[in-house]
Amino acid sequence: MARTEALPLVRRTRARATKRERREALTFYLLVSPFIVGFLVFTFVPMAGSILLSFTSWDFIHKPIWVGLQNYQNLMSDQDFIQGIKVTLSYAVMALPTGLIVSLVLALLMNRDIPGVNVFRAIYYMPSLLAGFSVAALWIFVFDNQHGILNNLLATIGLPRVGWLTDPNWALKSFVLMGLWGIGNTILIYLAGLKGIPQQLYEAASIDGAGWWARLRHVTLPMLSPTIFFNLITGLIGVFQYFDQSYVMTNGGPPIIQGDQIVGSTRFYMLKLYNDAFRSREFGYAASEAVLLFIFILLITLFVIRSSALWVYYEGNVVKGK
Amino acid sequence: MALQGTGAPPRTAAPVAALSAISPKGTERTGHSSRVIAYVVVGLLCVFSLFPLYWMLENSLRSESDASNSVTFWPEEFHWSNYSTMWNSLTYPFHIFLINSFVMAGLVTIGTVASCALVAYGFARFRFAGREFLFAVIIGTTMIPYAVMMIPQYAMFINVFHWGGGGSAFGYHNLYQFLPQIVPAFFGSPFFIFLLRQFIRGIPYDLDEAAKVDGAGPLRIFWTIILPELRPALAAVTVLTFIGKWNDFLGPLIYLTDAHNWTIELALNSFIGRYSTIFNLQMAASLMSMLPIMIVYFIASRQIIEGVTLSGVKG
Repeated sequence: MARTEALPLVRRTRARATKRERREALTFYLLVSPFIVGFLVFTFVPMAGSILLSFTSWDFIHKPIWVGLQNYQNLMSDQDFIQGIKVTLSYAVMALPTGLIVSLVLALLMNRDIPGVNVFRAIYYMPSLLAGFSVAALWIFVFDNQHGILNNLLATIGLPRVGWLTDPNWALKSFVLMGLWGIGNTILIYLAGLKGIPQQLYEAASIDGAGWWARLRHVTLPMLSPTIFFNLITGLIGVFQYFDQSYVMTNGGPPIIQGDQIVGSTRFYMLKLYNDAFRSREFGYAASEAVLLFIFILLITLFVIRSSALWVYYEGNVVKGK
Repeated sequence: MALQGTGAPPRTAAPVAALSAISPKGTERTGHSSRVIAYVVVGLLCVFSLFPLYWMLENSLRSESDASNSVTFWPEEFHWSNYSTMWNSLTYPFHIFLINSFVMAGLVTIGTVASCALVAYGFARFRFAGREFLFAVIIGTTMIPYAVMMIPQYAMFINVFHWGGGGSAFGYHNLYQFLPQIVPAFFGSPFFIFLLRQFIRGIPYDLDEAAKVDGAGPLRIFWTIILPELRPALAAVTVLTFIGKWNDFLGPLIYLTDAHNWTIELALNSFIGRYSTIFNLQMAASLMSMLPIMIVYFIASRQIIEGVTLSGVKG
């Protein structure tokens, strides 16, 4: 194990050593104090605050009123809340595997001795840096029914136009497609992982007569599993907080009728939470949604971490760390 | 933690170099034809990355009716004036928003880099009971969603610290509104603390010892020994923090309610709302907000790519 052993070479007296230890501890605390203070003020207290607020009704102006579990009970019958979960989960189910697989395939293709691979890498990475609001503006135009490039291309080859952002059956899939534009980050991390696989393993596999599929299945994927795991975890944490694009591009629409209710087909969980807090100013209600989101992310992350024992091959890291 | 696995910490900047030493240039040696296929596929899909940007640029120079007719890939006529029209089409000119974004992201970057480097140095070089526990807290914090802190933070910044809207400070506009964005950055960001701590652990301890013998204190050691070795990692943290904050939307949306304080992303939001079908101007405005990032990327693409790569290898 690599701990930074600050071994005092000569320990003259016990008193001196403890003095030194005390000084070291003091230095440590001084250096780390920004984090400790920041954690308490900006993370811990707000988290505790969210939990407390979730049991209240609060409009931000008057005093919060204690309502017990009322918020949580109301959520259970809130169509918009259930829709938020549905939309976020279906997006996660579509976007995460698609992104992970497409970027893996691209990384595998780029992980060869092809000329200009650095240029390709830089080009694929660029859009993921732009992943902000300006990208949403671009894709509103790309997806536009009348003027967008996608529909104009479809029309040119004689296919019917698609309501990319206006058809409830398409809107979420359009977000998935747009998400693929920003997978450069994932590709880059895969490429780093692939570089860590020792050449000898492939040579040994080839000598044993393994074809490309067998090499992929028995060498590349197991050796890459810690990297896949990393990408999966960061992807999961990100996907449940999806907000910017749904806010500007559809604002939760287009609407669909569900039973006797009208709900938004891209009404992501975070959008619902934001609206409840900052539009409807029901801060207690929104806090209960935040708490549930946190618990959900915590559970699913723990679940994936626990499951990693089954499919993540950690020998790979020893080789990488060397 | 589980994300990290085990393994000794590699030396500064070593992972990439060391890894490519294991497998010189690319990994799998394959036949000629499969290489050609890979080349073609990778090249074709590059179009998917680049074309939207090109399309944006050329549409930003079209006339309004021309931009609506997008089966062509070249403007009928170049309308450079789109940019000046766009520039002045909101209540305040666009350079106000650019300056706001720049100052906000810049201060956040300074705060993050300074605090993360010092905190990481503390974790990497000093021993104390409770260090491992605190470090576990850092790792755990990276996974906490912003949503669960958003509302009480808002209440704290507005009701307790009075950094909210209304009133005026520092003259006419309420610059206090920027503080909720900037102040927390000076208390470190868990992910970058983690990354930098891994880096510092890779710097040989002998150097510290030698300096200590010469009578250097912790800060002096940090300044003269750690900092120079840490430069590549700090460059990556700098650039990634700046870009991350530049792109941030939710934070500014909540706090920067005064239109004079809008960042470029918020201005864009308003712009899209107001000129929803005028695509040529929209593209010009979006490009203006992307341009600084592209410039940063062209200057520092090596640091950025290395930083992201390391976050994957070490994370």
